[in-house]
Amino acid sequence: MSSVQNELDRLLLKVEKPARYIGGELHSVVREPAEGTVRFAFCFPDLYEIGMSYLGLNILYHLLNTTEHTYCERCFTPARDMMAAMKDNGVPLFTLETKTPLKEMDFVGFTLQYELSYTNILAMLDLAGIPALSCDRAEDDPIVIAGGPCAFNAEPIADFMDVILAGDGEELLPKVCRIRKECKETGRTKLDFLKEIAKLQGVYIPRFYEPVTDENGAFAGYRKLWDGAPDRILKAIVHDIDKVDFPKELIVPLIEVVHDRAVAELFRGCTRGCRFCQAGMVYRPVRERSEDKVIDIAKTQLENSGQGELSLLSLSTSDYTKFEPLVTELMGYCKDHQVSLSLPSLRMDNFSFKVLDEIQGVRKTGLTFAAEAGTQRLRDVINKNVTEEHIFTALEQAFTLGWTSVKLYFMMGLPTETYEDLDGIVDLARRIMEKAKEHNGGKVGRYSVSVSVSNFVPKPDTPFMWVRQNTPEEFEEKHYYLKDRLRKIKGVNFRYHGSYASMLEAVFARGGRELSGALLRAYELGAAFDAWTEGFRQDAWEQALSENGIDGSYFALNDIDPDMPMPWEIIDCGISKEFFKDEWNKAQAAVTTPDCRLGCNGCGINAHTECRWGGIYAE
Amino acid sequence: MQNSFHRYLFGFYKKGNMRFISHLDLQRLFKRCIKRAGIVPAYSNGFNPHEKINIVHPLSLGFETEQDYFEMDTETPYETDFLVDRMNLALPEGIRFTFCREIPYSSRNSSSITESSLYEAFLPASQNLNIDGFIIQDRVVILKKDKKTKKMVEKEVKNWIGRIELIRESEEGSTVSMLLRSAPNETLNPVNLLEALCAFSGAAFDRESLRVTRKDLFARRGETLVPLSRYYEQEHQNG
Repeated sequence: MSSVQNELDRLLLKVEKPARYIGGELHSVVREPAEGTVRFAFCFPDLYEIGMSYLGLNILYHLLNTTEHTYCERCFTPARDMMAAMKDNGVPLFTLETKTPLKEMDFVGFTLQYELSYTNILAMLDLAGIPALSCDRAEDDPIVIAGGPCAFNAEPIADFMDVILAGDGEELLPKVCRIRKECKETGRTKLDFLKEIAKLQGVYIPRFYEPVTDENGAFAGYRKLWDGAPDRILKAIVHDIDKVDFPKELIVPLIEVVHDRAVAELFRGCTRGCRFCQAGMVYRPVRERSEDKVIDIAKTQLENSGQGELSLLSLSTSDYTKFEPLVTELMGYCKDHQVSLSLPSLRMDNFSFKVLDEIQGVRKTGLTFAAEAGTQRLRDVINKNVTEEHIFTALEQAFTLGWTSVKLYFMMGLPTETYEDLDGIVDLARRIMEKAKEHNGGKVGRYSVSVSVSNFVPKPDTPFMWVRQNTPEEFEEKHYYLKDRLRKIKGVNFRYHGSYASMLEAVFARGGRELSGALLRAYELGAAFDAWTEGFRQDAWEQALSENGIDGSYFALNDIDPDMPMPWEIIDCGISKEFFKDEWNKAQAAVTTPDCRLGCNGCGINAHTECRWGGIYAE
Repeated sequence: MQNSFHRYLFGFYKKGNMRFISHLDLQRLFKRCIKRAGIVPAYSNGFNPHEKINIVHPLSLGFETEQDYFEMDTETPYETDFLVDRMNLALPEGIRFTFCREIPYSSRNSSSITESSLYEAFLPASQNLNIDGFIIQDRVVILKKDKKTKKMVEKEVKNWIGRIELIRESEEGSTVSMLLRSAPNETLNPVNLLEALCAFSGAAFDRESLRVTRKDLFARRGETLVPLSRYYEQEHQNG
């Protein structure tokens, strides 16, 4: 092993949770890479415990490590104490598997899961000794590459990236690695390589484009700096997810992480069409994994890992075509093997209750409803097809079966929202509590209703991308309004998020390359782990934005004319702009759009791939 | 009490980077290991059944061990060789089971009979340790962090020290062996003792470069202390 290990031995005794930095987990891949191997560092820009809970890491890790001549290792953002210790002792950021400095990798790849992780990317590049800006990197520096949901508007970090991948990475990323190997072997330059991969669907090379502005300084599109670059980059699409290899051996963390379990993905995409949801739009079309595959993956993973929990993942679990037979089979298996089954994002129908009652037994965790809005009108606006009737029928059943704790999730600051909609939240919580009391002889007892409110952030490639966000003041006023009313109801508790961080999220969701200076400055001033309430440095951000002449409200708080060009339109998510406009118009009229499984709504994705599950339940 | 349980005592080592795995994480690791091995442990009763396992006298984070102990109860009997082989199949590098022996089932586990730990520590920065002078003091006082108040408090520990001796001293540093009394809920941390020893000797002390290894755990059989691995062997012979 490298000299990093010797230094580490000293550092690890000083820092909290040293096992974050040691690697050596079951199913992690430790190799002596052969000459000519393409080495890839998969970097998750947050703590080990967060990153290791992310399924995408395991999928790509597995795929790259089964690709010939490719070796993928992992790296996470060190906590602040470790960052300081590494800097003080001159230890560069290293991979967990072989403790190799990141600077020696061919690729340093970041997953972009949320906008507020961008400063952590800069922290990792800094600790690795890799120049932050793509234009400052030398020929022998690693290629810095990124992908994930935020790649659909990666403009704020485009100056830091050599390559951005949009869409499904399973087929694209191994291909990119193979081309890198060929280019290295034939002695071609980094630029040659970038030109070569720019031909692939889903590959965006920011340096081949330059944003241009109109006479008012507003974004007006891109000028191509190399004629060979495509005008727009269509996302990469895996047409049949059954044909891509899904890992049967997940890395088993040695320390407790957020989600420590066996995981099988049921399907990608979603047919519900919630208008605020970026994942539901950009991962279209819905593609299911076959029942046999899911069962095989689940059982093999459990056997290989000894995990005590299995989770089935997707954006809307109960929509899986073979949901009942699948869950019935797995429930039996889990029961026989002392494994607990967890089913996130369930719709609360009869079958779900039967399942939940069975898998949770006497130890019932909270029951969660993502109602998202307080009135039917607003739920129609956002196309969240949950009615109060659904909720109350479900609750009646839940209380009868012995549930005592209910969690309600709402979003605040949604388009067209008024205080009547907030009253709707209070009213809903009150009526649920009353229903609970009916089951408990008129007393609150151990019944509880928790109301969690997040702040609406307009996201690119959704029908709400053009809508202004509430100001931090508006958010705060609404939080107080709710707090005042909810605290009067016994048994109800209330949680909400910081509003400045939400504004920052909107700025980086909708902004362009002009933000890179502020991002760098914020990091210099000490911002990192911005998604964590604890240690969030609002002062650093305010200073960084103002020093760089960035008015956050310009990006977050303005309504946008849908006909104006937007920075993220360089990436084509496969959904037509007409569909988004149409959905936005319907939203303003509070008209809903039915589930795609009931009939095609014409989003345009079938121009790029077959949408096999669209319209399967059509009359 | 159910008499149908079988109890197995395992020895294991934990070295290298695995010294950074805490007691709780090690428990979780062993549970997964049992599941993966297809072994069915006994479960406790109650709303939230858990595996009936026990790691004898938890080791501090950052220490290595050459011989620690783990107990598991099962309802059906297993071949001990089978248990070791299966459990060793998928452990991370640095942790291995070294033996397994069936021991008499009892409501008390081996933690309750274990009373001493043997440690060896290498102190790279420290020379000229005055161990004899240190140990003949009437009171041997260490500083330790109070768990509740987080403040450093003094504690008299002479009775907790079974033996302490210098094994080697060179330009690189000193190696010290310590036999310390330990109880399931209270132990004398060798690092605190070594810090006091260095302070007493006027020697340098560098907490971060210190390497501590536990060599074995001991239980009392009459007048003598025997390693836990041999404790039950003798019991069988005698009984």
